[in-house]
Amino acid sequence: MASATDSTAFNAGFGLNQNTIRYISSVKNESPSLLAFRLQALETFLKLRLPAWIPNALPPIDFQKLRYYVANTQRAKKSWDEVPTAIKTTFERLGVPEKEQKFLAGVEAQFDSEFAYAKMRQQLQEQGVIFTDSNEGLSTYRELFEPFFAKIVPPHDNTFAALNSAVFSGGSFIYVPKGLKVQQPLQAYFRINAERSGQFERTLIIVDEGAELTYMEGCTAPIYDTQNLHAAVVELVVKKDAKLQYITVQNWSSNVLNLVTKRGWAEENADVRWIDCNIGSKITMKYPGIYLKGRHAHGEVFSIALAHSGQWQDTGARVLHLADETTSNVVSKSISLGSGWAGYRGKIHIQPNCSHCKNSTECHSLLLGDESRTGTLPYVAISGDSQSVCHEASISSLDEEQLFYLQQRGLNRAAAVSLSVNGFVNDLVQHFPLEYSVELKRLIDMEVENAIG
Amino acid sequence: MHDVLTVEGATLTKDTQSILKDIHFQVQTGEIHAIIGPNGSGKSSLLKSIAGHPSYALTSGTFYLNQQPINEWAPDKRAQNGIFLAFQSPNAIEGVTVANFLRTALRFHKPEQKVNATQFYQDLYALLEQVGLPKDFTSRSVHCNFSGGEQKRLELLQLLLFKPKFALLDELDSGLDLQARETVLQTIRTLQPHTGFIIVSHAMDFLHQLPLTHLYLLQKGRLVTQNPSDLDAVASLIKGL
Repeated sequence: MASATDSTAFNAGFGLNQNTIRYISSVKNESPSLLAFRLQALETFLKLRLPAWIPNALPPIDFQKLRYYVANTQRAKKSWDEVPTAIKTTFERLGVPEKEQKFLAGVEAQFDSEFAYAKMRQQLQEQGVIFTDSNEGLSTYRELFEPFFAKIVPPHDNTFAALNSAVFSGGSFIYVPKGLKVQQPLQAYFRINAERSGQFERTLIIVDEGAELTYMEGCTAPIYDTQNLHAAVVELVVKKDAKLQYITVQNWSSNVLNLVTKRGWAEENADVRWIDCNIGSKITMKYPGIYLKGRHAHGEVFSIALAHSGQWQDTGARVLHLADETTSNVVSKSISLGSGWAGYRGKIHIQPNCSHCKNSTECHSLLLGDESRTGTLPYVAISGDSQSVCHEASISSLDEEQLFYLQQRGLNRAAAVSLSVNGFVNDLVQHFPLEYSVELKRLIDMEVENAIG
Repeated sequence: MHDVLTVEGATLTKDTQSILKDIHFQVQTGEIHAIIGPNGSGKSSLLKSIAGHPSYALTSGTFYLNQQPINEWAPDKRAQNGIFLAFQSPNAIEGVTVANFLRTALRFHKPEQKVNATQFYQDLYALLEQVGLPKDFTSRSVHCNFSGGEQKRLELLQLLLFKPKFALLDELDSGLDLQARETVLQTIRTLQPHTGFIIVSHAMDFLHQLPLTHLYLLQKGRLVTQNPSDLDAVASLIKGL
């Protein structure tokens, strides 16, 4: 990976203090107010403690040994031809098929902490869509983004949101104008490059009244020896009658700590859907949240988590019903292989001043190994007598009769397990776009076959 | 040349409970063997153990495929080598479509052959029509919310698809209407020259319509050879048990 390190043009060195933040802010030519925001967030970060419920699996993190800013170029690339060969080689090494590379070429990707290419932007610009990075979003389009920036996920939300607020770089800032239904899903492809570099993307998406958008992100990273911290923040603002679907396939290398804060606002009659699949990383803690602020708003969280030995997938959802007739639907499916832990942690809260709210939550866990572990940790707080809430959970192991049937039809054990596992998550996988669902199936096959042998 | 499936002195237990004792018989391709017997006599257990079901332990005896012992073979190896079991009540496989399942299975049966998608669907549609299932069954989850008759039809479809050397049919005729049952009979007759059948059934009228070469009564874990022409007499014996 030496070539990747060599190509690093800017980096903030190791450690976290005011100078790190001043450096990042100056490289990005930020306004004094944004620098002040970062410095304030650093103070918040230093004051905050990790929540008491944090899984024991999360190792102590020495924040002074991390790198907080690495950029391989100051200027974002715009076409596939301009993408450095090293990046293309990395895609190949990752086993991304040629077809998918082309698929990815039309998208925005993050290489290190900056965009590597962004081909789609011009087309979108013509429609009035703004699809940019956090730096440009907060300078060129400041009036548009600033009113919402750090409002859905304020720095004091949690330790890692504070850290992100202090050192963020990269990520997508998107605005979809009123009434526009964006046909093509917007995509981002992230990867970690330099060793021990942190990834602190900041994404803010605003879908204006009556507009619609699907956003997809996929993460994948080469394997490194040392730990990598990924603490992204994603904020969604979905205005009246608008719809937003945010899709993630997370496949970080097995040394990454993936501690992400994702929250969305849904205004009146708006629709927010998180579709989240976590396969990679050493530890993931991610509970996509939805604030149902407007009457008749609807939220959905569909989550797939797969953990093999050495992995901890702490995933789930957080839905706050803040207005009348708001509805939400949470479906979580987790698969534990070997000694892996994959489960659900969630919070459903219906406030006392709301009426006729509905929530349905389903958590299903599949344990494949004798040492596989799972947990369903729901927190449900309901006030008022017109609400309807349903929580359903199940834990199952492989059905030997089912596997015998599949093997009787010629499938070897690994393929039978793989097919059965794919069947278990199929209803959720169907919500992913075709390209992703194919890749997802491949990832699940690989994981299961590695575990079964 | 005929293929031969041999059961030699098979004694079977499940969860330490004795199921079958010292079973002997031999099936060649082209033959139709019928096993009848009261409920719980071990008919399904015998078929499942030949197919390699992990819950059954063969405490003594050997299964042979063409003189080769197959006791140690995993169920998939037995299947790939031509042993097919039509399940009496197959398990549902949620989220796995019929088309995806069958295409995957075909890859294991014919690893050297690339399964062409268009050809696969054409063949599958034809088979669905043959067994009386609508086309949209390709996208249904395998045996999920299937009626008893639909389950049997899908098992029959697979018998036609895989054309096994040995077909173990566990009450494939039950729960089917007359037309579908006729399709089962036709299928058996069509495949007979190249397939050896072991048929478990409670329906004597069904068995009467088949050119049985062998008949057995399975009773209290023991298999007793009978004359196929004595089918009715043996059947009335079961009623009396």
